[in-house]
Amino acid sequence: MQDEKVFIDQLLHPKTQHEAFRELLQLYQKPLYNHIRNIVLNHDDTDDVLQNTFIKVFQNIKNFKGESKLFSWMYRIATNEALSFLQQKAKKNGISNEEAQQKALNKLESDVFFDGDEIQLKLQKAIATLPEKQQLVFKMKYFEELKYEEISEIVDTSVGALKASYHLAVKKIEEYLKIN
Amino acid sequence: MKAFNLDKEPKIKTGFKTPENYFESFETKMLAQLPKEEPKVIKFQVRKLYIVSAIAAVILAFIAIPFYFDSNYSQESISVESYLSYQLTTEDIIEKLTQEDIDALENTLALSDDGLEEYLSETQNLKFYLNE
Repeated sequence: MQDEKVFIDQLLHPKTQHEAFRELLQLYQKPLYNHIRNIVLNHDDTDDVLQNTFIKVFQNIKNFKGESKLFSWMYRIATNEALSFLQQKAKKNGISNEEAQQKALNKLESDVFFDGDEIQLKLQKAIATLPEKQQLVFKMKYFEELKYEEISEIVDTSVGALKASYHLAVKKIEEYLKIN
Repeated sequence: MKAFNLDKEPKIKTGFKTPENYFESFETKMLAQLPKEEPKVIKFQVRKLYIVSAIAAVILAFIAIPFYFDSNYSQESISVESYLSYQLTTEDIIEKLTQEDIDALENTLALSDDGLEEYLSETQNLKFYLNE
């Protein structure tokens, strides 16, 4: 991408913001969709969260200080939106986050927008047994193939801690897949 | 039980799909939500400030003009007390007073009975007041 500062200026200027926002969407809608979908699992919920994410990006771009990359900043917004969406949904249904995730997993088998085979479904179930942060790190590293440095900026955790977290997650998942 | 090694096994995909043309329609949907470029509108607060400033300037001009054209115009002549005494009669003021105001005035003035008798004996409307 062109110089980020120039691009942000274009996003802020009324005359150029429409075109700049189109470019932003084309660049980030797919990776952010995948990131959110990995967290919330269901397509319709992902669609809602993705919309909210881009609205927040657009509303807050004027406050973006450039302390991190635009990419990390947007991923951070998407992560927060997805996690708070899940919390609100669980609260609304009067169940815990874990129960809500289990419910979403059970629905996955009949989901028309999921064509995973047995091992894919098993992997999702194995991930669900991990603590929230480990789940997030595993998904970002394994499915989204982000670098540790990128994940570090997004979740605000050191690279060393992320490596340890991912290693632990892999061990637990392998153990789950071995038993089941 | 077969050992499972995630790094050695072929990569397991998520299995998630999206509806057909989802991203194209998502882009259109999001762009439609952007605010349109609008002509510059002066905010109401700013406009109000202009109006208040203009009114203040006119009032200032009304006050300043007599001073400018008539140097003998003394400050006493525009004092509030003079203005009121010129504009309002005693009857006008009495009409505006409530019983509470009168009571408050009596307390403030603290008239003695002797003082009151002296005042009444001097006034020509004594009979009128005594019959009230």
